[in-house]
Amino acid sequence: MLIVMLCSLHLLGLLLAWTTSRAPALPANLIVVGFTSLVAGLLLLMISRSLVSAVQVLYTRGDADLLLASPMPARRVTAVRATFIAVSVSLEVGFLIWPFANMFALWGRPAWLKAYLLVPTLGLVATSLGLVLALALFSIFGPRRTRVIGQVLSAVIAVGFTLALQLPNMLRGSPRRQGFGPATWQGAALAIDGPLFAPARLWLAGNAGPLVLLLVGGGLFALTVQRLGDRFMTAAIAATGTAVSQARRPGRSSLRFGGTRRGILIRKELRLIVRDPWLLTQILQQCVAVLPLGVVAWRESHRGAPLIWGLTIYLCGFLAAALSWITLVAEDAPEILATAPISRREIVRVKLEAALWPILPLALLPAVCLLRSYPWFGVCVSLCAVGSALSCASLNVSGQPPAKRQDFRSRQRAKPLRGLVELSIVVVWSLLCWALVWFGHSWAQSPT
Amino acid sequence: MNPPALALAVRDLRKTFTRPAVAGIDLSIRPGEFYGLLGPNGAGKTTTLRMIAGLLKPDTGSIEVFGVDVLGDPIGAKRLIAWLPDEPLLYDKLTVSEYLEFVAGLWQMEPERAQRNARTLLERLDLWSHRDERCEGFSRGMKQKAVLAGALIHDPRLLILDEPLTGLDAAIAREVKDLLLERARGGCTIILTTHILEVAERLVDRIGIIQSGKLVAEGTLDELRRIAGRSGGSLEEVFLRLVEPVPS
Repeated sequence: MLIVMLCSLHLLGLLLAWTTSRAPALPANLIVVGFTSLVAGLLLLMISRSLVSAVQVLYTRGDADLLLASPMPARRVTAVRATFIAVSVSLEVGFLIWPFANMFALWGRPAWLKAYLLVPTLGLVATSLGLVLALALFSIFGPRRTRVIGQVLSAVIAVGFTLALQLPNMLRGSPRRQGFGPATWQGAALAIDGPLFAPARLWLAGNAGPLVLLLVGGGLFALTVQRLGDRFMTAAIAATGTAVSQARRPGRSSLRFGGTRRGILIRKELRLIVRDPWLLTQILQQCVAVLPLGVVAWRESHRGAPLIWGLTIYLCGFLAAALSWITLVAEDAPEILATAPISRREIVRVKLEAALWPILPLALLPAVCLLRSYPWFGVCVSLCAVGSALSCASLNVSGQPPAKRQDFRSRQRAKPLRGLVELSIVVVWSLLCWALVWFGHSWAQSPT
Repeated sequence: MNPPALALAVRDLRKTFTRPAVAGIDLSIRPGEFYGLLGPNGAGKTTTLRMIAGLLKPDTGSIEVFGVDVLGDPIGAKRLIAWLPDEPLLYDKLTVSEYLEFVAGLWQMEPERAQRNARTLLERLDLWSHRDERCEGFSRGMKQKAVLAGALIHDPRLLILDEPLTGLDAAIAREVKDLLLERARGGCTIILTTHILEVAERLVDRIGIIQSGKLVAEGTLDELRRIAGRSGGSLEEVFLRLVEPVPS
């Protein structure tokens, strides 16, 4: 799979290199601004990843006890862990960037090979910032809350990165786009003498620049490990001995029994989802990907039917796939359910219900909101949104090995085909919706 | 209709993974009996218990719990059983009281009885003051106690425990042992596996020793002493004598 993806990225890089080779050369100032934006985006993404890894290091015992009990200085343990984070973060991003660099270099632009220095430089800087951020969170929020806050912050940074990437698409064709026209670029070009663009200028100036920046990144990394290494390991020790007691919420009564088995199962699933902020931010992060499409649909909406409602088909499908994966596949205590006097079929049915109930209001929204203006369109969208949700959720009913909630983020990476199937289902339901609307429209206009 | 003579009747139970894990086990446990299943690592203890609890399907053989066929009527049998795994699996984001509410709901207990049992168990296991805390902050011992409370809340007639005292400190282990003895005296049938022979010696009525998927000896401690030819010996000596490898 990895080889296939690498080959595909190289192919894509080749196409891009070929098409851009015919385009006129960009002004130098524009290159500096574009390069800085790209680096800022990548750095954000890498900080997000390194923050999660640093927080994980704080809370994962693994061999930490053994290492800390050994005569090895704590600082060196931090250095090893931090190096691992820097390498893994760099490889993650490098995997996406280097194939393009290879192809551009092959197509007569060898300067692109500097990407092999750029990514590690960013990895070192991002890891340093990730460590500092993790420690800062630990100092501010304490060992019990840092894990969740770190994960949420990381997701928020990643959402920022996704939105930043989509900004050009979202503004394309809009009146606001004028604000990003040539005048803006010229303005930015005037400002490139400022310190903000200094790294880009240095990087693009010659061959020594990248080496200097790599040394600066390495220096920052070494300084961080040197200054914070001991404190980081002290925090790790404190994190493993996190206090058990939790403040009780005043006014909450406990031991309330009763209710149907179905209701209790649904309540349990919803509680587990709502109380997991990391999981919620992960879901939100993936929903954000639809934003550019939403903006385009919204812009087109004034010409006829409000197309933006069509997005509910995608959102319902995606949310159903995500929530049903959580309820059906990522069951925390499968043995409790397996030994309970309840059939597997009933468990699956109720868990599906638990995943689909929160989505139902979203699916019905088009029918309700468009009742007066476009009733047929609203009904079609709602029906297809429900269909999309049911179909996507049913993908998780069988054939999925049990997983942990923490694997939510990587669930599609583990099975990329399933992601494609989800997307295909949503597309099929969208097409069906379009066909239904078209037939309804034709039928209404046909002579009686 | 006469009540069944046996709480648990296992006949010729077999299960093979890559090699035979359980190779023809027969067990007969009377109602109210406290039975200990001992054996070296990999002997087939956990596999046997998981099949009795309905978590694994045997290749061949039959299991009856109070006359209910576990394979033919799994739901009926599960109403009578509680299973406590060696690893306390809980829902970290639920509080203990929510967890008990969930378990009581699965067994469709009447609310009043569930409330009464939950309160008694939480107080007995020293979890009452923690009832509104989420399990994610609990130590292993507290998690094990919460899972035990969940297993006992619906008053099971057959309690199946896999290494219930692993990883517990002395005080918590004492609480758990006392609670189990109380339940056994109250008529609950208990079958447990343990590597702590002192626990088996002190708690159980009868012991079954399992090796390589087969029951090699069964009886009270005195009967086992006779089988092993170690009169007056401790359970440890008897156990080691009975499971010692046969010289090839």
